[in-house]
Amino acid sequence: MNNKEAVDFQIHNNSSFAHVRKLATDYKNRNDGILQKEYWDNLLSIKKRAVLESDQLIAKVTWCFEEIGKIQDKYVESFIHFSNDEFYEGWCLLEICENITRSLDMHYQEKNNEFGIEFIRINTKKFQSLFPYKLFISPGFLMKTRCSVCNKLITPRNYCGHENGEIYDGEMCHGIAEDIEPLEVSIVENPVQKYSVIDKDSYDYGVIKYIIKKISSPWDAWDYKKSKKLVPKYTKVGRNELCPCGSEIKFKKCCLRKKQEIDHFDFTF
Amino acid sequence: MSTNEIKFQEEISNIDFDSAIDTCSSDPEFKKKLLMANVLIIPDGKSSKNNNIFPVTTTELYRYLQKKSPSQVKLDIATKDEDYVELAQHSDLLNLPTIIVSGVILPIIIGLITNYIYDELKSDDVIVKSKIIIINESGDNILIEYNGPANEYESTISKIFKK
Repeated sequence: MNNKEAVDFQIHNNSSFAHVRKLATDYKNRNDGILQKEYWDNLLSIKKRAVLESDQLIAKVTWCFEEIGKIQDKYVESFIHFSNDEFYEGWCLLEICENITRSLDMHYQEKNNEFGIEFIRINTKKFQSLFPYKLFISPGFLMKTRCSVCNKLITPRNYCGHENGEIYDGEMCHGIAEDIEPLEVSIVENPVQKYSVIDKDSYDYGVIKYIIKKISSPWDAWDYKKSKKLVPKYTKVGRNELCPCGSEIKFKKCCLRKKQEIDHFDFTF
Repeated sequence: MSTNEIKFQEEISNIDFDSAIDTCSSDPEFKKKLLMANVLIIPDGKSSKNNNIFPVTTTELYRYLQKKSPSQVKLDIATKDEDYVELAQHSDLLNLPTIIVSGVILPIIIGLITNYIYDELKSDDVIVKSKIIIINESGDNILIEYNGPANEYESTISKIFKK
């Protein structure tokens, strides 16, 4: 049994996790949406015991349940923000969902959407694709990095033995930046940090508002198809009529050539 | 740059192992050790504190190449540990460190880098930026620069073997 298989087995069969498993699988029926405190308290207690007993497998399993809980909660919170017209705040939480899911994937992947992670993964992408954000700020900075487990400086020749992304005593190993020296700021279309949106208040969030009005729960299914359609003011204009843009030129010699199209969405609920 | 666009440039370079090693440290014993390499990762520049700047992928790639390289590859990195700093840039781009490589070893290194991109990232759906300086014992040194999708990396760079 490899590591992932061992984790999977414990997640689904270990009786120590029976209560948190039930809470995590019951995600659609929570009254206020997010996980109760007992979920986190329960996991903390199991983790402390596992670390004391040097049981790295059980410590890793508690970490997986923690990440599952965070993904569920952040997704629900993003929906709450969308419902309150706080779109940028919701966008940032979806990015957190994405990042935590990526980390969790390294150690555990559900098979039958029992924790809703696959649903959240797909819906996160769908929501993100409807956002109008085009440009992002991307900083560049110099730094040294320390290992979060042993605190040693990470350099090519100085390998501390801890793998970035691996779980040690129930915590994920990562690099901690220090001696940070800002160097540059770029404007990019494909950022790693999606929260660095330029001018977030000047966008039209109409498409997302439409979806949120139509669904009552973050767990409702919906889908869409995107196509290009002519801008409405040009749809009923004859080729030889004057162009609606006000140029005094015939439509066929003016905007018809420029293919004035907008995104059109067909939604299914 | 769109995800399908490839920028591939090939030009004569006056950088070689000696000139690259000369700028990275003032320690003659350390420089002598670096001259044993036939694959050398070199910095992209110096910081204001005179540290050697490498992209943030460098440590992982160095360890990967160390682990996977056959015995004929003598790999090293042109910096002492205490002078090593990383440049973190947060666009969704895999910026690889600049590598000087002997021409005879080049096909091995290209294959290993391609495997690294796939094995470590579990994806060939990223944009890769890579600079390789090929040392030709019988002619000019060539700098090849690639900026494009990961799944076109090997086939594009391999064009250089056909020349």
